[in-house]
Amino acid sequence: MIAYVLRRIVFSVIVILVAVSTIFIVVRSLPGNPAQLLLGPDATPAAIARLARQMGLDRGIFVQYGYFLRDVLHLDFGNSSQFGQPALSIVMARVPASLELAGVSMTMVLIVAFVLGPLLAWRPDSRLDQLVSGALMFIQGLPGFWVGVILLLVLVDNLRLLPPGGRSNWESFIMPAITLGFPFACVLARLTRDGFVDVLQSGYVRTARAKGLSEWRVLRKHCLRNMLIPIVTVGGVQLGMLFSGAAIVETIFNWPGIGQSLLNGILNDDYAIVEADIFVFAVGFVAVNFIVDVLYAYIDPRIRLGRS
Amino acid sequence: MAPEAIASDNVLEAHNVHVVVRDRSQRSFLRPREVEILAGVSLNLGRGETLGLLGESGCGKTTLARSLCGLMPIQSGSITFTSSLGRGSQRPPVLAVQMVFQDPFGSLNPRRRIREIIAEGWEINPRLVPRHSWEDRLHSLMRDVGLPAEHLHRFPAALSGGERQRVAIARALAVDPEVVICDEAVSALDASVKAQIIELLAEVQARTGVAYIFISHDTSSVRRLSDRVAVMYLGKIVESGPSSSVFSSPAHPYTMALLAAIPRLRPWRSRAEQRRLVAGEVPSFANPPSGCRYRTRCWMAKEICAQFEPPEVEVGDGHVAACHFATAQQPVPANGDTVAL
Amino acid sequence: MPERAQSKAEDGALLRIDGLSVSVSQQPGMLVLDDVSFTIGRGESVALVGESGSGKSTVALAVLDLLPAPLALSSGTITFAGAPIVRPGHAIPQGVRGKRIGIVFQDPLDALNPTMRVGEQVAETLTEGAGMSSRQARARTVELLAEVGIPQPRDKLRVYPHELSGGQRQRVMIAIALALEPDLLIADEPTTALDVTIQRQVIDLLLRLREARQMAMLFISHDLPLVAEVASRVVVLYGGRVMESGSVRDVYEHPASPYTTGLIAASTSFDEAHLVVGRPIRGSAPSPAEVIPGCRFHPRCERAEEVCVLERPMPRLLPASRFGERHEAACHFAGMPDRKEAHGA
Repeated sequence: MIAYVLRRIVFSVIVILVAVSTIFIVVRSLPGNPAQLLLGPDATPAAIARLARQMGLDRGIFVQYGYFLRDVLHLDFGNSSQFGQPALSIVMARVPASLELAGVSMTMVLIVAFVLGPLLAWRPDSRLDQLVSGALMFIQGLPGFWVGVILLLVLVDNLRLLPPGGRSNWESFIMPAITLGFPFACVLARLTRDGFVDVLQSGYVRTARAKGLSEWRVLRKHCLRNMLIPIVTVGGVQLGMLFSGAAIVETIFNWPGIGQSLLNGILNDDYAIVEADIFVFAVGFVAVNFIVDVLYAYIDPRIRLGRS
Repeated sequence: MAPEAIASDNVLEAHNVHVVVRDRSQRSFLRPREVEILAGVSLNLGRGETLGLLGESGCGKTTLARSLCGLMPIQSGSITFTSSLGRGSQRPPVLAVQMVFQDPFGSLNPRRRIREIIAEGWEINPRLVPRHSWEDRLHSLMRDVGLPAEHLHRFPAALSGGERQRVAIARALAVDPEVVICDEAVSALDASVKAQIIELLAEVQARTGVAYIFISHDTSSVRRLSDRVAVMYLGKIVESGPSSSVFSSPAHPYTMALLAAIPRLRPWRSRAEQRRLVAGEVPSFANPPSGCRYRTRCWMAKEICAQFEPPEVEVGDGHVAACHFATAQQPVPANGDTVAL
Repeated sequence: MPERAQSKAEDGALLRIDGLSVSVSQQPGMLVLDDVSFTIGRGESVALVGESGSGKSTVALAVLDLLPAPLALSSGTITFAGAPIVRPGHAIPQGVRGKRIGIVFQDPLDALNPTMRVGEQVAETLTEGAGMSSRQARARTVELLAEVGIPQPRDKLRVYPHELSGGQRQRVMIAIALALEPDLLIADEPTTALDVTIQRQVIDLLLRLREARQMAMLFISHDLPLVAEVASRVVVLYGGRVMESGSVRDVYEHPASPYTTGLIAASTSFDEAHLVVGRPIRGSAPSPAEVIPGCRFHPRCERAEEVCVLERPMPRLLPASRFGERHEAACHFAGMPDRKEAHGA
């Protein structure tokens, strides 16, 4: 297990390195002087020159890369051109809001999946199953921004049931969480259903029943763990995506998270914020995946012990 | 595999082949250990003949099949293919050795139609068969393997296991190979279908003169199809020779045990006999027994077996066995008794 | 489930299968099993043979009420120790599975839970079925694993199924099946997935255990020679119907139905230091969906005549059974002299 975890850590670090390098390449590929881009249109030539030296723009590209990595290691992304503060601290201050939204959204997703999944698996391929599975597939395909806007129109404008946006009371979580999570809920519900059906028809469940175990024990001890495997795998990745992919939802609902700050940064040419944001996305996503990988190996011994 | 100018009776020859694999489950932390699977395997396949390779799970037969095909690299030793076509043949040597795999459900691409699956070799090697002949050749191949031409436009999912194996055979034959390696090609099939496929293989050989290496753990299939047979255990060939000789007078204790393990149809007719059981389990490749690899399960093992690897002893015409107690021209006596199994 | 039967059994039969028919639900015409009947006495070893697709595994599942979704019992009864355990519309009573009847399945890798340790899979049978404490169950598990020939059983408790070899996995399955000391063991092709040398070890183990526990056994297989070494009586199944039944000696020496004759000719055996390779029957077994009038074997039968297509043959008792068992065959020509010599092997 230790070897497995260590391997996972090494890979995670490599992925973050690649993400960070991509930031470097992208910013350097933009037209214009990188130092100027970072400081914004209002910067003085002196400030630009100073930053340019700091970034090593007068030196070769590999030196620049070296300086860049050094800065990243010091968590220094420069100051935001919009707010004048260190970009990373601005972004980090927004992380809790995004985490909350991701958390609430994931909870909803899990509830839907664990209710619908077993329900549909009870009588697989029945009329109900086919109807609901089809509906789930359809819903999954709806565009997120469209759903968000429809929800706003109906629930806020017309029915005046929910607050219009921003993060305030518990009711303000509802629409963004739904808009963010509904495609994941559909996928996970179908996956759960398939997982349940597979397990219920498996040879080892048959053996468990043949041993004379009570149906309850069969479900709890034999079905549960094996059903979790595909759910943890996919659910884990989804969680990463919920955290990192909420840019549009946050913007629609004026949610003060890192997604909103990324979009604003792009619109306002605030490259420091953009770099810091992407970095936080990458680290967050990789961290979640790492946890999921470890959890996955814990649940399925075949992964950590290797096939013999 | 290099084609040689000198004509040889053997179409495929393997000399002292060693193959090593990375085994991740052994001692990990970033450096998987290397384990030797084939520990010096030599065999010859004559033109147009069938060599049976008999072995149970964990003996390395699939690894051997892959090496012979060129699908797996070898660490030392040599594998030589001698084409019967002279130099100047257009056909790349790699096509001359084809393989039919065990799993009829896994070896055909489910997203391609049968005609595409069979013709793939021609697509990759356009000089082999001109496009305008494809249709005719496809039809004649389907006839050769006993499938109706309608199946050509179907997908594998529409065919049964036996039918899929026929497609696999057609695919192998499409490029006019000189050797076809059948790696447990009939093991996943029902008894009656198994027999049909074996018959088909025999038919094809009679017609085209192709040579087979028939790998199986099932004694009856090997007996039915093979002219010569080699018995494999833990990465080594322990006995080989003409089928009739090996099966009627086995000289190696493992071969004897393999045969003795087969049940009798009418056990009440012969007196209850002491059947030699094979004791225990197959050792792992990572830790093979010293000297003779079979000694940990052999009822006749003595000191010498642990110290020295057994020599190859000729016990009959072309029939050799690697055992300290095999004597020339005579199968192995068990503790002084004649072999009455 | 009533107490251990003292006197209920009318004629001493431990398991009685009566007119068992299994069909695909929503399709009553598609019979996987068609009026299958036979009995197993206390301590007796009976084999059920047939090609794949004959329905033999379905019989095993039916006995324990484990038929998977589309299959359902359409008629018939199964009685154990005099009391009915399987009837249409009724679930199997408590206390039969595991405790009175144990089962070993064909593929141990499929039959064992891949994410649960082997020791626990054996022990839970004991804690749930015999009310043992975990400590007692663990100790008994070690004993059981030793009994089935697993080396260093204590070390194997925490091992997962995929870490064991095929033979060892099957031994674990046997340990699980026998943990609660059932009166009847069903072995559904227990060695088909194993190499022949390991098969021999496992079969010898089964025979030894059966002897020691005086257990009845229902041995299901397609391998006739294997059956001869394991069972005293045999029931031959084809296309869901019983074609022949009787003592193994009677049936193998004097097969009364052409199908049995064909099966015998198709077997591979090693008799008297001589490897005999079988010649399989032409064609293949019909699927339950195929509607075949009269005798289901007639399309592949060398002796088929008009009556075989018109009328379904019912079991006929053969007068010359020599070994104390009824020898019956469902063939219009059962017991009549052969016109063609069809004895092989």
